[in-house]
Amino acid sequence: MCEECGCGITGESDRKIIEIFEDILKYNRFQAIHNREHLEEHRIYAINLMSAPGSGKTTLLEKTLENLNHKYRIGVIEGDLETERDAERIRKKGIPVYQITTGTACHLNATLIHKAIHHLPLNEIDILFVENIGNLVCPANYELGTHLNVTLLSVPEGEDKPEKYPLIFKVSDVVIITKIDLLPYFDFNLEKVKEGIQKVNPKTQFIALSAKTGEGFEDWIIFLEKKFKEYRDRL
Amino acid sequence: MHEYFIVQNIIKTIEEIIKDYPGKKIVKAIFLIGKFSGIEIELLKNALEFFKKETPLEEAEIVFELEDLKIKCLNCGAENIKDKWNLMCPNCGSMNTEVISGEELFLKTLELV
Repeated sequence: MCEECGCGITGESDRKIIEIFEDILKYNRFQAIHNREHLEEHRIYAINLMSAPGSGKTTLLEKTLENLNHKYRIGVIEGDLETERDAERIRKKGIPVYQITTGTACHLNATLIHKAIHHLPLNEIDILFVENIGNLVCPANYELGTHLNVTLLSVPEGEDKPEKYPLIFKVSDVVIITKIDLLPYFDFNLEKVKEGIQKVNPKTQFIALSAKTGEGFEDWIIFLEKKFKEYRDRL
Repeated sequence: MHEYFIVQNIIKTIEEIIKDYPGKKIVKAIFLIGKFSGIEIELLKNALEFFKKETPLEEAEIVFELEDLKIKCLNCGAENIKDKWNLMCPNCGSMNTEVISGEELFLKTLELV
């Protein structure tokens, strides 16, 4: 508005509206793309493990390492741990581990992954597991540059989680229902949960297992090996 | 924490853009945020108001435009707005749908003087 007479004609000439339409998280996306290129240069297949705290990411990881360690060279990036104790356990198996100490951060992002991969012997790794921060909300927003997004949902968490936290299931290529040995003790209808997740993400795949009893674990290993083979064939 | 990280990204994006307009000041910034982008608008607003000091956004009015989740059915062609993240077509029940909007996290426009 013109300060002299109050009309709306003058004074606007130097006002300029620029259209941007830019993704606010583009820096993370660029970094994620860079990470992916880097991993592929070294023919590494990378897996992002996400879940709420206590869903069994570390246990799943340990059992998976036991199953694959003799066949593939594995690496691990730990984001989830409060202490070095679990990382130490993995290191003892002779597996290279880099622990990201995020303090109180709620998610890993592509920059943190970039720093971490440069601490690992990339020429000596076939499959890289990234254990994300235990959180069903924030990790969903951040691409890391990994090839496979895996979300764990444990039976005691309850069957309403996909409806309450759809975003994480939306970005998941595969959902693993863990702790199925506890199914007799909880109101957790496997079929109903699958149906609920499919409404959120029709393309996602399912595996149900118990790392404790070993039930269903083979399905996960077969799935992983198949994915890894497809990836290597594609390169 | 999460919102702070996003604010950092916003400020970085804007600092890059404003370099091309020397001597100009931002008076208004409009953001386009999908209802299912994973962002809490109130938290982002508070974080941005707090951290915009001593950045090019310091004197800018911040506006958030919300975008509904809209899906298009590839089976029957119907377009629908959903209030929950559920990709089933309410018209024919098909899961063969695509998301048209609702996931945006965009800086839409800047107004400069």
